[in-house]
Amino acid sequence: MIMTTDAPSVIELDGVTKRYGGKIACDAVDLTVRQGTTFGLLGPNGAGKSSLIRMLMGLSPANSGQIRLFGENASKHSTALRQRIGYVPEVHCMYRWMTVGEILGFVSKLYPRWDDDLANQMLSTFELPLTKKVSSLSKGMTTKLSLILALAHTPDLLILDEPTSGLDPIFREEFLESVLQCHLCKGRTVFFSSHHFDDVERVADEVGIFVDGRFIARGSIEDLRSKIKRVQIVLPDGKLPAYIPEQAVFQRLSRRDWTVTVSPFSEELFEQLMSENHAIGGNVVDLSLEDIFKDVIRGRKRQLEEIES
Amino acid sequence: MIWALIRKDLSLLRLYLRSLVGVLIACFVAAAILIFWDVRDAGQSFADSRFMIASILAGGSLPGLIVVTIFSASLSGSIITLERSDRSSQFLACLPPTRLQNYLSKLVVVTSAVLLSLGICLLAWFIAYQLNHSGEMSLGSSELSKKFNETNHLPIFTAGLLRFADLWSDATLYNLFPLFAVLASTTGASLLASWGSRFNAVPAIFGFLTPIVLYVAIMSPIGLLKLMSFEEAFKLFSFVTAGFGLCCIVASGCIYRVQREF
Amino acid sequence: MLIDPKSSTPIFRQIADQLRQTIDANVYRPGEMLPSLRAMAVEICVNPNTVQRAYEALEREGVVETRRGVGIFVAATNRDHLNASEQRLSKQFSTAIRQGVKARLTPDTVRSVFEDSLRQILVEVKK
Repeated sequence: MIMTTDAPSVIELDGVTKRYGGKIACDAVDLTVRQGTTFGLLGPNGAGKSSLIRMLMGLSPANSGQIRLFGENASKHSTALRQRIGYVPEVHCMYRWMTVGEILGFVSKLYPRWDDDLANQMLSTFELPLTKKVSSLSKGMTTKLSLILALAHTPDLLILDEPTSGLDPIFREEFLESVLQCHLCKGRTVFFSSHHFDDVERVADEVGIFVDGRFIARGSIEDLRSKIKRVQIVLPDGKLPAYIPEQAVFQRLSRRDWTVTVSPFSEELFEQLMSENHAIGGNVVDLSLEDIFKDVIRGRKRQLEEIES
Repeated sequence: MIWALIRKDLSLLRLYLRSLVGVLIACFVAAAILIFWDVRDAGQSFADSRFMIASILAGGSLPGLIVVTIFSASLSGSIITLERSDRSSQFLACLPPTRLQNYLSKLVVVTSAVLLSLGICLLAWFIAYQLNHSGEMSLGSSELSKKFNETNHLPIFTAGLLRFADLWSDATLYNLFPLFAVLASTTGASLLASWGSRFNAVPAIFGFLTPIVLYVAIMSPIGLLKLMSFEEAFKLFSFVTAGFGLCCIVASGCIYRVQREF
Repeated sequence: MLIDPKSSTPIFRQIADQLRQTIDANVYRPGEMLPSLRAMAVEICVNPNTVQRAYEALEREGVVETRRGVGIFVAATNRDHLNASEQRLSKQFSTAIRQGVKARLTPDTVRSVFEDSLRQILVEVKK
């Protein structure tokens, strides 16, 4: 089950750029996601995550670069390609006047690999009534219906755009369980963007932090956590940090307590920080994915502010 | 896959299609009421039910043709814009069918609905004609007038309708062509006008006005300058209108294909 | 099973440790089959690759063993899986064997001494 590096690539982005007017949403992005991997796309709002996902779905074209899905050029987005992908968007736009049963009936005819048993199984797990109109479903129920529509045709790739936003914890767990049971456990690929770091840490094999159209950190969660750590140093009285390493991503000073997040971390760097700043005390803190995310984003923000001023 | 799309588009327009059926039925019912009132007012008991039925059928099909024209604009104006107004077009854009398949399904639904309702009106007209001219007493409207003149009362309305029914004898595919041309132009223009719109009223109005505008634009300069006879001018109008309608249909298909819903 | 995604312990390690605890608590006995990879992944809501790493870690530590095509089973030979009296006996054996090894007795000698003693005691008990 563990994906190896010789697994075929499912998603390939090659120097993909997307511009909206003057703003760059994607800046020469390179990415490869192999079969069986779950890739989590993290990033602040407005970073270009949704436009990246829309380009993957063939809903908007890239300005330059190539997007390949299953080795096939995705710009055409043929029917056959669409039938291998399941998509759960952030905002659901299903036909509100249809009932649950009607919309399942409609969508099922569009996919040759539709599995009726799986659809019925998910319907009963989620307790979705067939006769209820989509317009009268709650947000959680609509998301679950969207997931059934995406998973019941047994896609090879599942793309989720902020799937659990606005869902209560029980809904979120049920949603993740379904994704795991019906998809991941069959060796298929998932590409999702999310702000729920707990979910990302549990489910993702690889994550990428996407800011201002670029990946500024990418790799397995363990890699990121071993690479990016926070050093806490107690400075002597009245002293400011004398040595700020180039690996510093973000730093904060509060009285004598100076915390600096570094990437990449090494023991030598820690010792250097201690000695060159004449530290009274210090220790290394392991960061959670959420902390890494926050520090990376804040650091970049501050960088841009300094450039502007 | 296309059948699923067609069923979906039929469902999408269910309200409009039901109104179309309702209004057509109402035309015939209204005709029946007016005819009964007309005939009763004339102090006659209209013994021969043949003429009653013929006049009711004629009385329904005449406004029916206008209703079909209005609905052809309304259906075409709505079939794309309804999906856009609640953004379900974005949902459809993520599904496997291509844009062309989506458009063809809509075209099939609209064309079928228009042709079917048109067919019903023409059939009613045809049956009215046959009823009016069957049996030992083959009554044309002149003979009918004679019959009523005996009693000094003439149901004008009913007589007029039977006269209209008589016109079927001139109806050939060739003579009915202007009707098809007008419907093609209303359908095509509405579809094309839905391109930029999220509201179905605007394209529908565009579509309905198109044959009127074309008529005025073609017939008045020809009439004023006396370039050709009325029949020839009318023929020209029909061809231009039909051509315009077909071009609009093709153009709106091309636009729909490349249009992005986001 | 409670997984804390924020903890500095990697998730696969947390799973392995908690599984080990349930095995020690005799929730799963030696020789019993553990839940399949997929069932476990769905139950605790974690990527199946991570669960696989946990199982692999436990296998390396000798706590579980994989039988191809059948499933993952609690290893029968791990000392921690013995009950209280078995553990006491195991400790006593360890002391005795260590003394023998110190006295430079060969493993075969140790084994034959053990078997002689066992036979003698069994004869006594029968009487």
